[in-house]
Amino acid sequence: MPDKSDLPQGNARPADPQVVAGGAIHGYGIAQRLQLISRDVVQVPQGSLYPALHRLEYRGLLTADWKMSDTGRESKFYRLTPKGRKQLKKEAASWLRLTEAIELILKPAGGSR
Amino acid sequence: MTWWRRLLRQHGLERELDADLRDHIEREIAAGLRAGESEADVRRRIRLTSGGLDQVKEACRDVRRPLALADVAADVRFAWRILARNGWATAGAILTLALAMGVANATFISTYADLWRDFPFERPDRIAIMRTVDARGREAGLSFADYQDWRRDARAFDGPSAAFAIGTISLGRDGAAPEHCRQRGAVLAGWTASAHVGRWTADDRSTT
Repeated sequence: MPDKSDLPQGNARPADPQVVAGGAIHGYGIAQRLQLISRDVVQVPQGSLYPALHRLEYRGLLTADWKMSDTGRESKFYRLTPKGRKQLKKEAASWLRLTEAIELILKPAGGSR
Repeated sequence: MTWWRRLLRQHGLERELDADLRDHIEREIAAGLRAGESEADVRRRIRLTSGGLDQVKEACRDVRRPLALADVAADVRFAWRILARNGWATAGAILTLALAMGVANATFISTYADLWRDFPFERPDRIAIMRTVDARGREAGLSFADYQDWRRDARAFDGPSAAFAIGTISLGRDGAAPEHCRQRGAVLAGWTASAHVGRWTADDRSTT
């Protein structure tokens, strides 16, 4: 499993909304999907995930409904609002630009070894 | 949802937060059990990575509460504990506050009485002060006869509420005791204060 301890976990801001963009999903599902898609690199503990979801909900980027789930209990399902979709597009583009820039910065250093 | 609706729905939001977090924990325990972990191990792992349930709840509350109200309840509880612990300091603070409030109140009452409070008339904005001065600008006083003349001849005042407020009324010759003052009640209709010396009389009754 890749070491996740040095990764900027809290800064992966577009990651949560990107997962929710696929459709309504509960909190545990979001954490699982993030871990699965990132091949275990991004692991979001409950203590970081739920405040982030509440923040996005508070800002009107996410909305949530209580629905009956596969467990037989009601679960809270989060989904993106139109405002959240727009914000995700903006932040994803910004994030990609940043990662490309960092890649460019790191390339010479990697090549000189 | 606006902040005030959140405030009104506080209990509902708390229940939802609790249910949401417990749903997550139960799913994680179920997944752990499927992977061969014990429930105690899963719970310990959750506590290690996320802290206790209350900590997560507090972090969630922090983001959804309006900033101004975020810590008011906690601050009030903290202040109460501190005050209860330091009895003498609390008594000193209360005494200081009481004195300060008393001084402020007395200052306000006297300032209000001297500067802002209206005169005790029905129409304080219609008060006219009439006085006489001598050639050197000194107060010359006013005889009751002058007053009667002015009242009879003045045309600037109308209606029964018109009144003459007179700085000084001469009631007799210099050095002699006042002899006679006749005051018509109608002139001072609306007057609610008592006379400084003697008394006001109604109609044509006299006072000395």
